[in-house]
Amino acid sequence: MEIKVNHLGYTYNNKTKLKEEVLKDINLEIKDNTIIGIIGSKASGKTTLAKVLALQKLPTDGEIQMGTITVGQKNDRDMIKNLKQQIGFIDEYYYESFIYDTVYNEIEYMLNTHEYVTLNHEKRIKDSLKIVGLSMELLNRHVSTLSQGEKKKLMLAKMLSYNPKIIIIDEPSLDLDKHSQNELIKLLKMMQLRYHKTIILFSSDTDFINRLAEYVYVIENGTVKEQGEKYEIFKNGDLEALDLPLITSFIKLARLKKHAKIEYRDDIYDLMKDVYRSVR
Amino acid sequence: MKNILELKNLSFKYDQELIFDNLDLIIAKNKFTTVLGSSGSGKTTLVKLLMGELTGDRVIIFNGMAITQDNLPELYTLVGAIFENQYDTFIFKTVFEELAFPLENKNYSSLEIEKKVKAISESLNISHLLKQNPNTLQTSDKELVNLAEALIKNPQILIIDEGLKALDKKTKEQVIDVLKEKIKKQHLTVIYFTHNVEDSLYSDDIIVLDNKKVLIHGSKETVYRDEEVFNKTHLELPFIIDLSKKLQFYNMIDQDYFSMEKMVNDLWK
Repeated sequence: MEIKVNHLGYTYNNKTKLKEEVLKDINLEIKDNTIIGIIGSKASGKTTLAKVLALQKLPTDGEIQMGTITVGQKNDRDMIKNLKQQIGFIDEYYYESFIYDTVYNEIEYMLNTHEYVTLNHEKRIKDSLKIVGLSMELLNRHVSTLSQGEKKKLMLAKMLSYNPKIIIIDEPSLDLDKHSQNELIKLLKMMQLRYHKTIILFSSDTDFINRLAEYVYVIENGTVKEQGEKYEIFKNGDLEALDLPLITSFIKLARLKKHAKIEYRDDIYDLMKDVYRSVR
Repeated sequence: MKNILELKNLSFKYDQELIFDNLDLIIAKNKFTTVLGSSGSGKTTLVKLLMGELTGDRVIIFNGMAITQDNLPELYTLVGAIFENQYDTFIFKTVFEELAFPLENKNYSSLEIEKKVKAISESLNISHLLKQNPNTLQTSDKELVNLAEALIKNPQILIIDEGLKALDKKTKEQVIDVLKEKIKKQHLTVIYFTHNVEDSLYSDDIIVLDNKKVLIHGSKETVYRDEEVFNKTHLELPFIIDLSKKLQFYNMIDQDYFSMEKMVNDLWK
């Protein structure tokens, strides 16, 4: 599903004395079947933007077009409900969102609230666990005994269980070790290529975004500061409090200090070949 | 005594699942040690065992003292700790009161307390937050307040369980410099539990937890020297080490590098 965001704004406590404008005049164009990275430091407003795109909060200004439907200030409740069933969202504070005891019940709850009809409930739940690489032994385990990384994978399994068209994740790499990050990268790539999902990732981890996203938006002070192909953004962009991806810092350093003829890359093997050619 | 922490042959079970199988853990005094482990490797369980929140089948020896349920208060004066996702445990309305709390009941005059709070908040660059409510801070600032609170009692050991993950690289490096200064001047020992292999490069020693026990233990140079042993774990090499290994394979360099500048200088002479 294609998403277009026009002049979007969000103000907390709108129309009261405590109002606080967090997002202003945001324009995004997210094509069907792409992976988009939205990067920004901690207080940039990206978490609020993630929640608005996931329709957890509704825009106080501007509009979001999702497919043929437009979400603005006055919305039909059923329409929002229908749209939400097609969006999978993982919050930054996902670990506070578990309400049931076992892993099985957590996923079943997701199927129920999204009114997702399956022929075989149990098989669907098991498949969801399998696809994120969690062991079947966890099915009846208490959620509180899972590690942070396993909890994150459980959130993914919950989200994929009802087969949303759009996947939105706030801080996807947080709490995951590099090995699990690689698994998540493979999984999200597969979601894009094989299941044609549209994936929007909000993160301050530029290493992770560099390996996955094609197009990047930089959010600062509640609005889009820059946008472009990822290499352009990381090459020239002023990211302020954000760190460059490690691979980009290395390439930038070699190009600036030694005028090395190496290209901007997202893969260490490509970088190695470039270095080999350049040094030889 | 060379070691600040000794633990031998510990086995631990959660319900029926074996978490540790004959785990030996020795941590050297006055060093920065990173305990690396993938998610699910039992890092947080180990922290809980060290802090006396869980009891295993073996006694933990901290600085020559065996820890039992009876002398836990002594352990708490010895050890400062910050935990993963510790963002809602603040009791007071201002950061100042929060930081002053550990010093109460310790016969410090209010002037001394003020001095100590000022010193620690200046070193961690959080002086501007002292009058704010800790619960309304950004997560990265909350982590700094947690750290300041853990350090203000001048503990001999600081245990960090993923407690720096919200910090950007620049702030994290400043914090680590502060800790290294304390290691040098105040004989602090830092034990940093993380899954972030990049962060392990800040430390002196690395302990790799994998498959229910300590798989590798040594200086960071030795831990990363043997790629094959490391590849048996569920972890991946840090970027600069990974690149070092790949370039060594093609004989472009002849050692592991820990600094990008040095590597670039040596490659393009």
